[in-house]
Order: sequence, then C-alpha cells, then structure tokens
Amino acid sequence: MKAVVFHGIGDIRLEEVDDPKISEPTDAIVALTASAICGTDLHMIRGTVSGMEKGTILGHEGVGIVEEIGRGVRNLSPGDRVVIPSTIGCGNCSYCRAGYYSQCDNANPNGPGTAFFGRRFTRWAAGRKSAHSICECGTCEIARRN
Amino acid sequence: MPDEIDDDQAILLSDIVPTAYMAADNAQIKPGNTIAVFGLGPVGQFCVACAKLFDAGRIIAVDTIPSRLDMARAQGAEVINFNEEDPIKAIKELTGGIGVDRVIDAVGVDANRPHSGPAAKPAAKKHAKEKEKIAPDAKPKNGNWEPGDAPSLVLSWAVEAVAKAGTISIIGVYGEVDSFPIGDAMEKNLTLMMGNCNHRRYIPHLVELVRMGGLEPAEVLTQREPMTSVLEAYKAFDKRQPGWIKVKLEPEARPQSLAA
Repeated sequence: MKAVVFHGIGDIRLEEVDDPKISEPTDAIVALTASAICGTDLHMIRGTVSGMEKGTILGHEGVGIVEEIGRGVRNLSPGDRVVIPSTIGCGNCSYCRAGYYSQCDNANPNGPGTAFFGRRFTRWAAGRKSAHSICECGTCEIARRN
Repeated sequence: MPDEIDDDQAILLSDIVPTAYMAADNAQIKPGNTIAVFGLGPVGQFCVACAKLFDAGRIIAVDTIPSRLDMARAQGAEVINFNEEDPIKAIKELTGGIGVDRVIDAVGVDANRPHSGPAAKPAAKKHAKEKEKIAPDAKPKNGNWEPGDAPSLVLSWAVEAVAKAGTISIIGVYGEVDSFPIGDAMEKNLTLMMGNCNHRRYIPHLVELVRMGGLEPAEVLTQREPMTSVLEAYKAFDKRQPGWIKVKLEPEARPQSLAA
C-alpha cells in the first residue's frame, strides 16, 4: 500500500510500504475510505515537536471498513464501518477507565497520545489499508510490541 | 458508525471535532460566558462551534487569515485580525475592559507573531529568540515547513486576554515550550486546563449529535484531495494557503476544491 512516510524534519515522502497483517489477537485491519491531514503532523515536519522516528507513517485520522479482525476482537465484524480515533487506549488501566484515554498507561506510558507519535505501530492514513486497532485493548498489544 | 453519517462528516469525528469539543469542555464555559478562541484552523473553527454547544454568550475569534476569519464570522464569532489590531486591546474594548471569561488556545507551538499593526513590535521584542530555541533543526524549503516564529505567543496573550478568575483551556500542542507567564496567571486566580484529547470519551456523544443534526462537521472541510496529490496537499495546508482549512484524503478521488 502507499503511505506518507516521515524521513526527517522537512522530508516526507509518498512511498510503497508493507500491507498490514494481523499479528495480535486484538488487531484489526481497516480499509480506509477517508483520511485527513492534521496540523499535528506539521509540528513534526517543521521540527517544532521532536521525537518522531524516521520511518513513521504520518496521519492519524481515519474512517473505513473493517476488513479483518483478530480472534480476540469481540465487538466488531468484517464489513463494519468505523471511525478511528487518533488517540488509543487499552481500556483496562485506571486512566482509560476514568476517560483519560490519551494518558493510557499501556499505549502511552510517556504521555504523548497521538497514535503515530514516535512509534511505528501505526500503519495507516495514506493508503488503501490500515491496521489500527479499533477495539481499544488491541492497541496496547501493538504498542508493547514496539 | 451510523449510515446517515457520511465520510466527510465521519473523518472529522476522528480527531478534529472531539479535540475542539474537549477544548470547550475544559474551558468550563457557563451559559452566557464570553469566550476568546485563538487560532482559527480546523480545531479553532470547531472550538467556536463547540463553545456555542456549551451555551457561550459571545465568542471572540482571533487569527489573521481572511478566509479563516470569514468562516468564524459566519459562525457568529466576533473576529479580530492580529495583524491589523492589537488583539488584547481589542478584546479589552469588546469586554468593557474586563477581558473574556474563558480563553481557548487552539494554536500551540507553531504560533506566528503579528508582522504588521500595533501588536507587531511588542511581540517581536518578547518572542524574537524563541524559534531558534524550540526548532533548532528546522529545514524550511521553498516556503514550506517553516516553524512558527513565536512559540509561546498565545500563552502570553491568553493570560492577558482572560478576566480575573477566568479559565484558560490549552488544546494547542506545545512540544518543548517551557515559557508560561505563571506569575501573572497566579495573580489573576486563573484556572488552567489542558491536554491531549481523550477522543473515545467524546466520540460516541458527538456521533449521536451529528446524527441528530445538532452539529454539522463537514462545514469546515474545504478541500478533497486524492492520495496521489497528498504531498502537495500537505504543502498547501502547511502554508495556510487562502481557503485551505481542512483537507480530506480520498484513496480513489480526483482533486476537488470545495472553496466558494
């Protein structure tokens, strides 16, 4: 699939990246029908917010159709139309249970909450497909893996 | 996602609308309050819309890009162009010298200071050296990827613009900015609320609100771009080109400007 990839400050490229795969039981793959550009992306490209790793796929807003789910996803089926929030949370920790998803202990142990931030676990926004957990607990698994 | 909500509406519910809604929620708006929104990009536009949902009495909106000021005015905000007027002086005049009850900062670290008008000189003096400190590795190219030249500008303006015992809600991202007028804020008994949006906390409610017609998110979507022109779209949005407010990317679409 195609994606906009961060290569460094002032350097983003549209390029071919690997298609996403279900690698954790709580993963889901969503075929995006729409994405968007957000000002948050621009901070990293301008160099005013640091910490983004080379190779991170930009974009963190998505709407699409669930294509495939892991066996641990109980609340969705392929074919469901979903919106994907740009912060992720495990749904289990004290912060998530208090509604502070952006401070999730598992997905965002250091605070910054936008899904792509500093990590490569997001595979989305610019392409045909997207592996991003919609089931809240799945994102933790992805985050921990990286 | 209910079928009645189309992709134009749904994509804005992914991040922008809940972010603005949280900013308005954090602003602790009481019915009738006067609110100032700094920054009228996509989030700022929805801050205006969401402040109305929280029964704000008046909304004062500050930016400098005419198309963005026009969009806020069309929503009923009283607009201030910071390159024409000193925004703090204008806010004081509009509020009987008191200031606004609540401020929403929808700008963050990439703030650009005024370069003309009465506010230009004081802002240059106060914020001139901040950019190099915050973004030492910036690589601007052909007018793109230029960092804001006054990273803590809106924090200063917010503390000046708000009334005593008022609330400042910060939704703009600040990276490594460590400059905030804490002394003045303390002296004024201000409340500060801030943070990354907790999207999931707000999205279910906002989906219902949009489905019932209580909010039209697609009003700020000005551009639809196919994925093939995505880099051009990033560059245009980065330059804040006239009329470019929120850009939706469609995997299979043709370019289409929605601007009037």
